[in-house]
Amino acid sequence: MKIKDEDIKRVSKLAMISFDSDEKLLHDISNLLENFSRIGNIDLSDVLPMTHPTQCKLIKKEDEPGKNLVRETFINQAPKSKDEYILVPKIISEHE
Amino acid sequence: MDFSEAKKLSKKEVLEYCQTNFKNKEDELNAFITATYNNIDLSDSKGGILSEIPIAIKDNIAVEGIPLTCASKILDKYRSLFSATSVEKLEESGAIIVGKTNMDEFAMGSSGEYSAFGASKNPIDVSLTPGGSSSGSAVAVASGMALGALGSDTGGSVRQPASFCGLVGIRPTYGTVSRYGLVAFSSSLDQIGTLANTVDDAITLLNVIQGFDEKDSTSVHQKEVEKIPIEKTTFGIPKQIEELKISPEIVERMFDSKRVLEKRGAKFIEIDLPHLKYSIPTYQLIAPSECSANLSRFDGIRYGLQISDENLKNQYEKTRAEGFGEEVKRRILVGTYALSEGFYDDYYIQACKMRAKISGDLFNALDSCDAILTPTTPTTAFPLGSVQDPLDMYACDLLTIIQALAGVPAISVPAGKDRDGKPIGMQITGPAFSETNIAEYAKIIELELN
Repeated sequence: MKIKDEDIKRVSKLAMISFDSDEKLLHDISNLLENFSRIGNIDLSDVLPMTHPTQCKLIKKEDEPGKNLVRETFINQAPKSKDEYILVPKIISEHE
Repeated sequence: MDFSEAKKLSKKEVLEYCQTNFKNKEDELNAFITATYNNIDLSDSKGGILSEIPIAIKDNIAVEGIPLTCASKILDKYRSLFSATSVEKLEESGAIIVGKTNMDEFAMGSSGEYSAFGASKNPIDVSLTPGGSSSGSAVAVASGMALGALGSDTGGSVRQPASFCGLVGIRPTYGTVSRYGLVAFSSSLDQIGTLANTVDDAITLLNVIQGFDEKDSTSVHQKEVEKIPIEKTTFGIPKQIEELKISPEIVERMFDSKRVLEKRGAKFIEIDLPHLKYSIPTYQLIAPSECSANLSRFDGIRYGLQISDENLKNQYEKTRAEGFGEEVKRRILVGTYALSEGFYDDYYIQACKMRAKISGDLFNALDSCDAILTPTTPTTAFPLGSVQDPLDMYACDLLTIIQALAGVPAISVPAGKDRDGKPIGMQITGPAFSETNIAEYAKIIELELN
């Protein structure tokens, strides 16, 4: 299966990673997907997919206050912050 | 130096031993991303089973107040806000944390070469890889900079570097060690494991960090399993072993291991793992699919690297393109592709179905025997820079993936050296919760073949 430049561009948009045509990356991914697709040739139509080794269940905790993180400690980790807010580029234009 | 030797010395002497090794060897070996020897307060003695034992922590496991990088540029300047449960348990047992170790970026790799901080080197021969992804943890222990270490094992990342560096490495039963504070790569496969010089030390460390944790929704309670003495143990060897691409010297050493176990009264049977050959593509679709979701949190807004742009989406895309290394990007893109509309059933779901087949084969085999003997790796440590094709790198995990897919424990134990003096590791796999039994069997190989 040949993966095209447009396929990787589409996927890189979904993955939010900017992508400039990169021959090696394209070749690698195409090669990997082609190799991995060989499991598609085996009839597994009667098999239930296994997504996890254990049955996850919701763990209920007592509704009691625990140790909290101090706001400043994580606000201070943000690349851009002001007072007690994390700064992000504007996402709503003036016309909206 | 093992734990029992350390116990005969003072805390100061043990720490000095490790710190001297660090000072003399770190420039060459590059085991640590953040070393904390200078921050240790020896007067703060807690006592406990690991009192006086210097332990290194893989840099994808949180230690409060210390930088956590996952060997990635994208976590630039990030410091952990809390400690992982496994680290808290170590500290409660008196362990001295000596630093955070180098690794393949986000634990994706088998040689340590995918670190943004440069590769670690194998102390046995610095031209060789120490294996990966827990490369620095293995190097720190093998060079005496620490006496034990935590690593994470998603498809072999504790057992393979242990094998390459002549150490013991354990991947425990899925859910028995809390993943709280371990940066998620592939949540259904990731487990924290231990590396040490001896089986006894590795199991001592494991016993400290195990236990149910309500902070991890996949945590399970440890179950008691019957102790099976060696003379009543039946081992299986997969009949596929001879068809796989494994170094003949390593296969030969597996039969030496078989002989020493037989001498103690163990029986051997042939087992069938017919889907073993599909384990790499299965793993390489499931792990990247899960990683593409888990790594979406790294967006440069709340912490880490940020490449600024006036447009938020452009900022995300530029930050992630700059912050992630080549292998991480490859896996995110493969995973996103496998999960995308039109391909989901053919790639991700098909891989999950194959996971069910491979795990079913393993469970069936473990119904007919008590443990499975295989080598840990198809080759011994290879020269740094010698593996360039990602598919060749993935082939390192040939014998360590099935346990991760099924969630069962396995131990890698040194079984002598090849003709070039490079360590060979043997792997014993057992059913869920059988860590103590497989460790006892590993001790026989440890004693007889080293």
